[in-house]
Amino acid sequence: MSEPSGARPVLTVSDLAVFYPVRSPLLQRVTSYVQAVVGVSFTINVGETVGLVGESGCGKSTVGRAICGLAPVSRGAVTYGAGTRGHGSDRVQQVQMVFQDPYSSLNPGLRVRDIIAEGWSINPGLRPRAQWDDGVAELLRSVGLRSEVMTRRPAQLSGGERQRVAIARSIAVRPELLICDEVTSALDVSVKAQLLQMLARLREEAGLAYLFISHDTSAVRRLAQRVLVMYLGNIVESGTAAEVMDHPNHPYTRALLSAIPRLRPWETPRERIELRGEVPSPRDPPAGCRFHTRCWLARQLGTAGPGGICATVEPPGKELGGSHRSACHFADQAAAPHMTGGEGK
Amino acid sequence: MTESTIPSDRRDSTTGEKVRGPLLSIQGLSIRVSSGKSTYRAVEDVSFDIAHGQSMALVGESGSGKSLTVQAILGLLPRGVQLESGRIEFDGSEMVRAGAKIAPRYRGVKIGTVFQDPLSSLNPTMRIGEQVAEVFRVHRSTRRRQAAAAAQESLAEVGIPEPRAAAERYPHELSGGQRQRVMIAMALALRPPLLIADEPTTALDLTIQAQFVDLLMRLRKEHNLAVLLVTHDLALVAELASKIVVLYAGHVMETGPLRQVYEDSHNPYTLALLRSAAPDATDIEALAPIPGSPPALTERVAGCAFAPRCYLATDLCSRSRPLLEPAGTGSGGQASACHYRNEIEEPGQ
Repeated sequence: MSEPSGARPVLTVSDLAVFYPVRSPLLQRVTSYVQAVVGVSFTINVGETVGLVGESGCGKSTVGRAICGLAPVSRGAVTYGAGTRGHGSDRVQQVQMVFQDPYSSLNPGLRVRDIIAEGWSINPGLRPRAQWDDGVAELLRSVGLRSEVMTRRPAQLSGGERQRVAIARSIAVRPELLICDEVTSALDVSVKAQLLQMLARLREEAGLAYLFISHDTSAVRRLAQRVLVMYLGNIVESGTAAEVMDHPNHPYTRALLSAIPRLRPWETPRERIELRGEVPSPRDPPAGCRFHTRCWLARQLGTAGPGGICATVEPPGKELGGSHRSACHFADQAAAPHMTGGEGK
Repeated sequence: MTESTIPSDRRDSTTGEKVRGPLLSIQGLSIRVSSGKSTYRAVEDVSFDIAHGQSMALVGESGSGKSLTVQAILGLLPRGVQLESGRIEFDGSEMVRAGAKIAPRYRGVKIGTVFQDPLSSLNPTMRIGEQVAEVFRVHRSTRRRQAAAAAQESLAEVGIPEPRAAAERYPHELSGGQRQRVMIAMALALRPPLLIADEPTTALDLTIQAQFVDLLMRLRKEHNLAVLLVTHDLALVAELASKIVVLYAGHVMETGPLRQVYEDSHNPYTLALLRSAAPDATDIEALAPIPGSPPALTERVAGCAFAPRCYLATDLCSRSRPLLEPAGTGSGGQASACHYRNEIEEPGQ
């Protein structure tokens, strides 16, 4: 699954930064900024699925929200399609967002039919009113629901069904890109599998591109063609799903993936890379490489101390062949077999 | 270090050797829920044992009755929910019986508990140290100063850095992972022989979850702690538990030694769950999801509860409910509630 050649981008994010001001309690003066996202760049091509992984507070949801205009873009640019700067109502149509919690993202007072048709009433050019019922039935079918669901209200649906309705609503306005923010996280194991397959089918049928934001690395591995890994507001590693998830390079990615519990741990022995300490506050991120305070590799190399390269110089993204990039000073050494996170653990 | 529990030793009738009974024994548990005019059985005839020092996983999706089972063990069933029948024994003596209340001395002293959301389980207006110390003061009548020292010791044991300083903080000043550690410190402060953890890592990040798994493994080893781990995460329990009970719609579908069940399951529901859970699989077509969704608690059918979603189901399955019976070689107590339990073959194996 490599990048399609000559692909047309549906989204280009360049050097995106999102800062939230922190105000003093008394005078309400801005004293500092929470640097939620810093220097994030990537593109998504037509029909492509890009997975965005990382732990809570890494800024992955903020990236999704900034693309939709739900978070302030402090620096950089978000560009849709062939170059229109994303402002105004065309964005509504081209990019849609689906959220984690299907319970709070659907209006409980409306019937499914009206929830799905709402986008058509806002954009009357999309579909004449006389065809709404047919259109809703068709959308419900494409997300794997029977058309009878149309007359129900959200409270009468299961969690998985609600999430399907939320997806049907977003694709009703024929977007090119769907931003899925933790859409499978609140679902049961068996229902989650159904939803992933439904998203894969929808991608084929409608030519949809996804930005699939999730902490569920196994869902990302199954669905995404390319993967971005975030830590404390930065993208630390990117590449095809196979490059990043089967041959992780960055010390953070390697630790993150080694923490995934395995279904049959007795089959393949694996060394867990333990991350010590907590994620630093994005209000006062560490200088140099943002990961250096917890990095096992920098500790082994002795480069995390005062004056060390990891503590002073921000690492550039290093090319590792193919589309694989890792923002680590020691990217060429990080994945060497003798370099593991074991420290007498 | 470990405080010995009163052993419930019995003599084997044939050999005369001492046989230690289970630490926790759940026998024929049925739970009825009444809401408004309707009333239904949410848990039916659930039985399992946990041995001393054993870690057992109780696995199920929403509506499986796993949380109600735990609430029944702890005597915390909410209003409108009744223990209809069954009994629960702790170390050989009766702890819970239908129609009677749990003896309060078990909770905290004999059974420690950790729940999903540590923020709502901790008192937001009390310093961490005081909350842990309270456990000693209430249950052991320890004096204030000694209780504070014991609390710091407990915090240090679960890996809270600088326990003296941490004791002075309030819950909101700690991260989610740290709060979870405080909960474990409180749960294990009195060295209970059993820890019940209900979805303990659902709110935690992967790397923090991995730290939790390591901590639990260490504490188990050091204190011969038995653990009842309640979760929907099949991969998480594979790292932690040696025995598994799979619940579906209030019934035990399969039970046995965890590794044996994972490698040679005799139940279509367990198999389907395992197939949808494989974390390292890359092929989305291989997911083979179970059609439909878990039934609402109010939908109870006459036959096998899983029949409407099962690829193997026949008329027999929708008519008569299969009992939990020995499956495969039956070794280690593996049992499955499926009419076709000994004819199931895992596709592709």
